[in-house]
Amino acid sequence: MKKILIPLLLVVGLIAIVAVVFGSSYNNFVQSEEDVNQSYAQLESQLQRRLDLIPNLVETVKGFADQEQEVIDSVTEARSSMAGAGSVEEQAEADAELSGALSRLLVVVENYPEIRSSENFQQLSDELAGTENRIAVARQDYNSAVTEFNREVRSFPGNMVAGMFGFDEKEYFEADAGAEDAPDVDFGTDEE
Amino acid sequence: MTRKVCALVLLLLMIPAWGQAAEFPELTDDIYIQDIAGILSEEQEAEIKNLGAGLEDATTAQIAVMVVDSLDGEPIESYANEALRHYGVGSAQENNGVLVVLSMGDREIYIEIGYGLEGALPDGKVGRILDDYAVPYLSEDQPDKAILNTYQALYNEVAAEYGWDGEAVSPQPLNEVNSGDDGGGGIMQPVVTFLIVLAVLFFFTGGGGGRGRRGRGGTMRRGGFFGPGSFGGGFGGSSGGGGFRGGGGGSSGGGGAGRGF
Repeated sequence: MKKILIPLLLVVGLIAIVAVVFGSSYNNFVQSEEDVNQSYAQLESQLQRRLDLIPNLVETVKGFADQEQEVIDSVTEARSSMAGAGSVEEQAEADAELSGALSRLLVVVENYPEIRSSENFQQLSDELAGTENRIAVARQDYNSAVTEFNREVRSFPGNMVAGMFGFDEKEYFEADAGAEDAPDVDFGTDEE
Repeated sequence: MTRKVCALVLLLLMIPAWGQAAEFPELTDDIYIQDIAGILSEEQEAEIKNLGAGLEDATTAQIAVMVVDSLDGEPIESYANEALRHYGVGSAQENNGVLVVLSMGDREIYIEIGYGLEGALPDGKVGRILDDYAVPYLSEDQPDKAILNTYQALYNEVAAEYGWDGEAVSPQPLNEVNSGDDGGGGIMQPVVTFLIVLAVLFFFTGGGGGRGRRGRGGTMRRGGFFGPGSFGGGFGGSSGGGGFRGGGGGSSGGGGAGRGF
């Protein structure tokens, strides 16, 4: 009787340890997936906020500089491809494209002092710069939540738990290298 | 043996937090003003601290200022965002912090708004405050007045957001100061009024800070090992008790506006 009891206890103990380790790993996944989702929601709402600002901005610029049709069109196009983007990767690329188009628009605006000095434009450009900045922060927060999550997916014992419960690595929010160089929108008014 | 391993693990866990903390100077006084570049007089600093403490007592919101010599090449927007999160400006519950960063070397100023105040201080309004109260003084080489007036303008907005009327500061746009007879008195007078109001308030509320809202521990979203809120703890009425006031654990997400000058 005793001979069976000891191995039995050992096995039960082992199973209990495994269950605790896996259980806590599972809970970690739930937590960090929640972090990823939350930071993604934040990022999306900032992207949406910028989409909402653009029609207003375009109208204001049109009012003063109707002839700059090409730049205005590129912003409108980028905006609609942003609105149609589905996956994280598509969104990241559309985001980079839109930021690029917007900064080209603002370069054009430099040539129109009457736009720059209008209070409406001043306010819009502050809102836009603030939103670009919020997007940058939200993107950084999202990517670091994803890093955390993916690290758990890849490391032991997370990789086993992830396999069992179907936690996959998440996508980073980043555009291809080529699309990246645009998004510096700076409205520093250097007037003395 | 296990103890050694534990100690090592703990140490390793703390390293990233140290790295983060090293970027920003440690607080040596109330969070409201860190004048590293040394542009403000003692009276001006005291004035800001008075305003900040009064506002925090009444609303839990915190307005903090950092005046630095240089940002070491970091964009001012991300510097301000990281600094606000690092110090935890504003309360952890409401994220109602505001951080003004002025870099003398880079000739840039940026105001970062905590999540909870984005409604009261949308970017457009922050930009206008900068245009009215900061940029004109800054381009006249009067950074101290720029900071003081900007602080007062922000203060008024936050007080109004909370429906708090225990103040009467009026920031002065540059041209109004110039047309007035005495520039100094124009700024001092509201402050004196404010101090009187504050004294009366303290008298009636029995020593101030009775509700003990300060110094809640930091549950900043990405708080380091030494979370924000580890300073200035204590409960209400700690202002005379030796310690100074730190952040309350607030966070922000890049809202605000900036200007070069």
